[in-house]
Amino acid sequence: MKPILKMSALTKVYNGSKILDSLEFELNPGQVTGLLGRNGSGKTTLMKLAVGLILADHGDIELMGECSTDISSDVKQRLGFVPQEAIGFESFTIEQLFKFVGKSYKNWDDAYATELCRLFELPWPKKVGRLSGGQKQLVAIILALAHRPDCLILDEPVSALDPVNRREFLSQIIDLAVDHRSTVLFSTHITSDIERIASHVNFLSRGKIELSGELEMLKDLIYRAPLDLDYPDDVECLFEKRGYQILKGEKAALLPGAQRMNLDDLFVAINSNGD
Amino acid sequence: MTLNPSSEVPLFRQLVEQIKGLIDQGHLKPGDSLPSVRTLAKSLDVNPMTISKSISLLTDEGWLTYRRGQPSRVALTLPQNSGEGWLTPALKEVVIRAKQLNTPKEKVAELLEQVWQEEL
Repeated sequence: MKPILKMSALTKVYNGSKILDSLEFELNPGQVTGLLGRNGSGKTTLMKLAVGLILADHGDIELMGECSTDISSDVKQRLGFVPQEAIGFESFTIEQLFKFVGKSYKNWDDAYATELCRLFELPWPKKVGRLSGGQKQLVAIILALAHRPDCLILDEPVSALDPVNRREFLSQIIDLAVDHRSTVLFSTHITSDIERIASHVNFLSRGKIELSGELEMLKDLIYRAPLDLDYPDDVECLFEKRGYQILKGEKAALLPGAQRMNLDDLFVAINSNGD
Repeated sequence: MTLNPSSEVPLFRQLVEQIKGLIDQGHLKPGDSLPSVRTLAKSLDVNPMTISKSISLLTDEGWLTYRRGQPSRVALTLPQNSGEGWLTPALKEVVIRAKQLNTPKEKVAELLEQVWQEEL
């Protein structure tokens, strides 16, 4: 199976510092992937590079089989992107905006867009400029969903959503993945959302993907253990930090002092200064 | 079923234990069919891969049977430890702690006896 998104030896420099440093990243068809990383770790840069909004200093990016800097209109039709910043169009009503954007997508589903508006309780006739931050975010989400893209990339889509709308959003993503087999990449700081709906997770740290894999397998096999602990050959030490080490393997569970970790714990462990 | 995504226990293991519990308590009976992976994923709002993982683990352990093109069903003959199945994870937890602390099996049995008496 050909990956939906493939980044190789990707480097991006801002003001002399490498925000992404020879990064390797792959997104395979049907995966729902959570992207985790600290503020300023380069998540937004990675996503903007993926959809060709900015250029890399080095490396290759392939999006649905095409070079991301030169995407055909066919691939654009199958792509959905939710940026972190406001979408603009402040003087349009939601209705006008949907009509305007809908025209550029062959598969735009008006009924679905209206249904989403109803589910998220958006005031249909209101101007975008008059909406709250969360409501604007929901409009951006609907604009990216209503043509049921094969590949959906979302940059912190839930940061301003209330818990009810957040849950509804997650439910829509699951529907898209189940019914349409779409590939989804999303970044968030709410790790429990990733734990709920993602099949895969990637940790971005120090310009590289520090850890990636199938989420449930990682949670099942990774343990935090004291530093001085000896472990059998079939257990692997992923990394050592000040005072503890992170072990991976089925037998790690039986080691004295070994503890399971949730995604939050793992995030902190990966990003803490241990060296 | 209620799942806790931010628990240290992976969701597929939580699901496995809850389905075993439903079988043990008679809410799901031998021969009953389960909703499809798609239906479960949508109603629980979790990734379908997580559901598939739970179903295949339960099938491997003999709790469910699966025939191509048909829904998963509760096995007609349940695994040996069925009935006490919902105790196993709690006991496993105890055994892991005991091994971590190098507590011998006899001592654990002694403690169990003690707790058993206290709870009566």
